[in-house]
Amino acid sequence: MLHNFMLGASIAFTPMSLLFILFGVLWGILGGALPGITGSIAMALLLPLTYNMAPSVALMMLAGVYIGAMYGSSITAILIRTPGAPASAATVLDGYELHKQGKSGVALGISLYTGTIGGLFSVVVLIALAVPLANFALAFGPPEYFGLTIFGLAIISSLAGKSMVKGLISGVVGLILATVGMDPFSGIPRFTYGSEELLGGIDLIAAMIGLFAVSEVFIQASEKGSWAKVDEAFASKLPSWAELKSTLRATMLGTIIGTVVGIMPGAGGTIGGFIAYNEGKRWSKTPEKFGKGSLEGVAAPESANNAVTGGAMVPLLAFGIPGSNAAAIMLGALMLQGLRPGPMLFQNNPDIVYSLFVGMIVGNIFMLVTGYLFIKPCIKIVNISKPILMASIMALVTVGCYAINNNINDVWIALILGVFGYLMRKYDFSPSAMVLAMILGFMVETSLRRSLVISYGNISCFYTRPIALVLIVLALITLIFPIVRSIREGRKGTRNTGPAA
Amino acid sequence: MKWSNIIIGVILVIFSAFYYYSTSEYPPPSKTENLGPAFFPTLLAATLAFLAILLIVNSIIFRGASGKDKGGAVIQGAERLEEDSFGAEEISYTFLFGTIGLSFLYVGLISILGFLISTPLFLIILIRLLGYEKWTNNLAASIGLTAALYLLFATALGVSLPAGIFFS
Repeated sequence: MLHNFMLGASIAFTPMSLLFILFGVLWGILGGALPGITGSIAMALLLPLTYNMAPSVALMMLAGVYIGAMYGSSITAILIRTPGAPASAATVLDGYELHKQGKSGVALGISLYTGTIGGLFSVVVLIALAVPLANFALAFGPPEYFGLTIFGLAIISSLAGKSMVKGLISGVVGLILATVGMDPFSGIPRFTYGSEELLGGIDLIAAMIGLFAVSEVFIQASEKGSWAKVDEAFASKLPSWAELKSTLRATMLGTIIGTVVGIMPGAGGTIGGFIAYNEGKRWSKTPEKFGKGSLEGVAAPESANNAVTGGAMVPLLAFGIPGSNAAAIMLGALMLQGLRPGPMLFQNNPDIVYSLFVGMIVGNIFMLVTGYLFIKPCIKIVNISKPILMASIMALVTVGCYAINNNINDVWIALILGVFGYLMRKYDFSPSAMVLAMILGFMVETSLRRSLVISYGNISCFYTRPIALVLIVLALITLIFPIVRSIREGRKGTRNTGPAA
Repeated sequence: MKWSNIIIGVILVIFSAFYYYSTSEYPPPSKTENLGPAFFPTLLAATLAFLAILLIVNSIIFRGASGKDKGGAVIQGAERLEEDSFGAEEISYTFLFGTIGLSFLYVGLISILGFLISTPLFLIILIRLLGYEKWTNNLAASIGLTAALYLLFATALGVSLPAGIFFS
């Protein structure tokens, strides 16, 4: 263990790695601050560049983007009441109030400091959980992996959309897209319709760039209004020690909530931020201040959304199951290099896993150091007009997708899925669920078929192996519980309104 | 009744039928592998058709009422924001179709005109189309960005960007 950490540190503390982590953090803060550009979009835009990097460096840089973006989104949330990413939506409530009261610097400082605390704590939890979980998962066979992927997909799809049916449809369509290409068992081409290009399947990186980044550009471009200009001259006085100490309780709550929410597949910074805000208010000594410029009202969601970063890496590293867009992109970066996260990665490439642990700690410290200084340059870029930014992202996407395989077809895939993602979001379907299902699709099918191969076609392997059984039952509960609840609530609803009508 | 949901549901049912039909030529399961290449897709086609019909039925039965199948106001509020950046802003279809159309045109022309010609053209026209009126800034940004992308991808990363018919 200690040996592995030394190995990780020796990779993370090279000038090249440090430089890329720093770049990642700054890119993340900027992407986070830009309205509409979330951390995962900022990460997706960098994906094509990781092709030539060592996998460990690529992962550390992407983790840096993820970390930086969680803080960056609070900058515009506080200064112009527009959260740069939904993860800071709850921060707007008190952050913007503080800005109006002339305490912009205090609010930004609280966001930065509590975010760093949340982020660092979550990395510690990540290390404490991922290593034993990965050891545990070493014993998993195909039936367990089938249960695990089905359970993950069930949670993701049922949480993702505004309606559960639409979330599930998004997931199934993702699974369908994953079946395109060569059949892993018999080797025959499936759903390629004669196209040579599709034999290798739909390129995942291009699909993620299309569904996350291109669809967002279409949405932003179609909206007539432009972003509010950020005033560069804001009160820059930082929070005092006493002010920071006053947020201790909210920060602790936010940190724990964020870490737990991060571990859950399908939930992310946005949900974490809102729950933390509510709990922060409930447990606060001065709940009446919430909504009127409470420091705790900034500390709770901002520590939570940064704490999500470490939590989200737990299922990704331990089981190879991404639970969020950001984790999906990290997985994409690994797959680009021919690697797959999961327990075997700990065995075969401990350097990658442990350098990521160290890199995430470094990333949080870089954020703490540069976060405040970087606000001004960030504002300058946010103030560049929206048309120029959107056009630039489109050009970057085109070149980036082309660069993955030197192939124009990947650009077409990104564009077509961009339009598809736009329509999905317009009609309340979930591109995230679709991407995660696309990633897990291969694993779901191969683990199912492999299970039956090793059990000679006997399906008892799914209910005689306790872990597989538990996971499959959990998946079924996840799918059935909301339906039962909605029926019960429906009945209650009619009973309540009955007499009145 | 939400017509959009019904139309989407019908499209999905047709799609799942087509997807299922595509599996008809696949070889049957082998002796060692008893599910075969068609099993999983068939399962998916059936699931999708079932969910699509559920979507249609839901839209017909629950007129007007939507999204009632979930609890927790906080989670709902959060989810609305998670993926939904459709704000209260008015949507301009000129901007939308202009951006989509230009992007497709750009990708189509990049192999013919080459990266160095099509990219600045694409940027200049899209930036103007989206309502930015200062030509000098537009030109500077478009040419500057093209140069930056070229330096990053072609020079630093060694990607051979399409040269086009004029340079090859």
